Amino acid sequence: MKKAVSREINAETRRYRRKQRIIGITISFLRTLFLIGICFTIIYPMLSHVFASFMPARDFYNSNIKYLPSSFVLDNYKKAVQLLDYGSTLLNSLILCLLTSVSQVIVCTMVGYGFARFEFKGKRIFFMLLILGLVVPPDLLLIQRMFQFKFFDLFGVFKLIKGAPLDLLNTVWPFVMLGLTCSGLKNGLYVFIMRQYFMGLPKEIEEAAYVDGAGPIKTYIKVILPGAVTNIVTIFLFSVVWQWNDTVYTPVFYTEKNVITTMIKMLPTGTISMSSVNSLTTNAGIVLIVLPMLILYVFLQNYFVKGVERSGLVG
Amino acid sequence: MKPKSSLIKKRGRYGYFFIFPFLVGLLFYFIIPLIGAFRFSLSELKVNSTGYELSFVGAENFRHAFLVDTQFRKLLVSSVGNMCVNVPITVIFSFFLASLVSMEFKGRGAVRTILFLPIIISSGAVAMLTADDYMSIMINNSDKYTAANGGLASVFVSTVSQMELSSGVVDFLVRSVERVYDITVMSAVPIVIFLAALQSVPDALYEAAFIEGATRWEVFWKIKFPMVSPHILVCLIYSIVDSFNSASNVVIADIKNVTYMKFNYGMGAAMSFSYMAIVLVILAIVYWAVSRKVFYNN
Repeated sequence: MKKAVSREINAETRRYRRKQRIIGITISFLRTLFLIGICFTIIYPMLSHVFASFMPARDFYNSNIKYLPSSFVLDNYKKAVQLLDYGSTLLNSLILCLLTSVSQVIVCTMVGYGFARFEFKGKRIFFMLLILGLVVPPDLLLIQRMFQFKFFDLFGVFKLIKGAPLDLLNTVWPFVMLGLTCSGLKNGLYVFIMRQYFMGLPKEIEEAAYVDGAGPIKTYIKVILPGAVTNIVTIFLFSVVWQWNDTVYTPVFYTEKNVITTMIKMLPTGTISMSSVNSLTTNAGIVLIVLPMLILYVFLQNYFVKGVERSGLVG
Repeated sequence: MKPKSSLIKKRGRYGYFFIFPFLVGLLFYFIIPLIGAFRFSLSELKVNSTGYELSFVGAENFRHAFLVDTQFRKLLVSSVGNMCVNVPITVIFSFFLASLVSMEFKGRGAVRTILFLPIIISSGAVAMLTADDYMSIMINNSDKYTAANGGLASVFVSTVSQMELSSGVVDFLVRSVERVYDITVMSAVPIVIFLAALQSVPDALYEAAFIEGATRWEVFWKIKFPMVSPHILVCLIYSIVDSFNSASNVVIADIKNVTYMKFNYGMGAAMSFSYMAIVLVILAIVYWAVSRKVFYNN
């Protein structure tokens, strides 16, 4: 009697397990199919740039060749490197990007925490103004800000010392200052991301720290920041990429040094304009511009992996 | 009214400390330039050899934008309509994709890298370089590189147009496929935001739920969804702003055209301000409607 029951249970378990396995296989099959489709949609235009960038000039005139070049040559890259002055451009752009992004990330995280965890007068209005900052088309403020940096002065101090206001254009200062005052490109978004993250944290974390005698600033640095690594990396990534690709501020504030956004003018425009074989060079240029950001992402991706930095954060 | 304890008051002061940088930026790099731009919008700006001079014209620029310029109103309507279709799809799609990609499977890293690609490709510099492509596709429709750069859509177009379907059907199919690419590109940023949000959900919650006998479906709706909901709000707001402010938006293109090509700064500023007001109203409605449903874990 007992045996029969246990056999029945066994059979039931087996059936249940088989069902689970079938569900699992179906899900992973559908997922693979779907993801391959999506990835293909995204990668297709990029892949065509990559292939075109390796094409020798004679392939361009050969109407039989559509995607795959007949032989892979580096001529286009040599030309693009020369046109972009790639070495110094890369270095300048990276320096500018890192300075801007680091200042933006430090400040936006701080401001996001301030909005999420403290009660003070005017908080709602300030937050609304933050969102308003996101909505304003950047071109609207661009001309005004340019004049501010062209004739920069701190309450007349520089005029007193040097006799004239400072011209900060073509230095990294406008970018760092916009970053440090939380008014750079899309900074409202970064604050918003951090604020939402901090608001979702359980209050007990800070209360424990306060009981242990830490002040808000110490709590923020020692307890809150280490837990926020995933989100900080996210906004850092956005900030670097958008600064790298920025065609709003950089071409106006930073025209004298070689950076990516000012050097792309050197490339022949239009990757497919049939008129000129130079378009192959542009394709190589696109690959050269995209590549550093892609490498950065591949490195930073490890931070999206779960459960490394988040010890002690379980609510 | 309960009197607030001195601790909360004292902590409140730290709030100003934390948002101090923002307040400085708000004053110097937002309000002051905004007032300057507003003055532009109420004036006619003439550039001369010594600089520029403003002559006050009142609401003339605004009147011109809405009543005289026939183009502007049409563009506004189409831009709002486009947003209404694209944004909900984008947010749902990116949430779905992010939860797919946050599962464990082989090649996950590669898929995530590819999903990140559009952020680089579709913004700023690279977009500028490839912008001509789409122009020449429309103009000469040359078959050699059209397919290469129009992406999947143009392959699809050539396939569909070979089948003998009525033009209405073809048109519909082509449009929806073109939208797939647009949506995928627009989803790139929300996907990264959702991914970070999903990774911040403590594992213990899932474990507890499974031990209690919850199914995957229930875990999704009762745990994942509410825990990520603050970021759904972020993505909604972002997608709306992005859809209105991206360089490919028709109204932004029109404003740029008026400002930089026709050198009519006053008119451009007036158009920007009216556009902004409309976007703000939409944002306010969405924020108000959604933020009541958002779950904060404390």
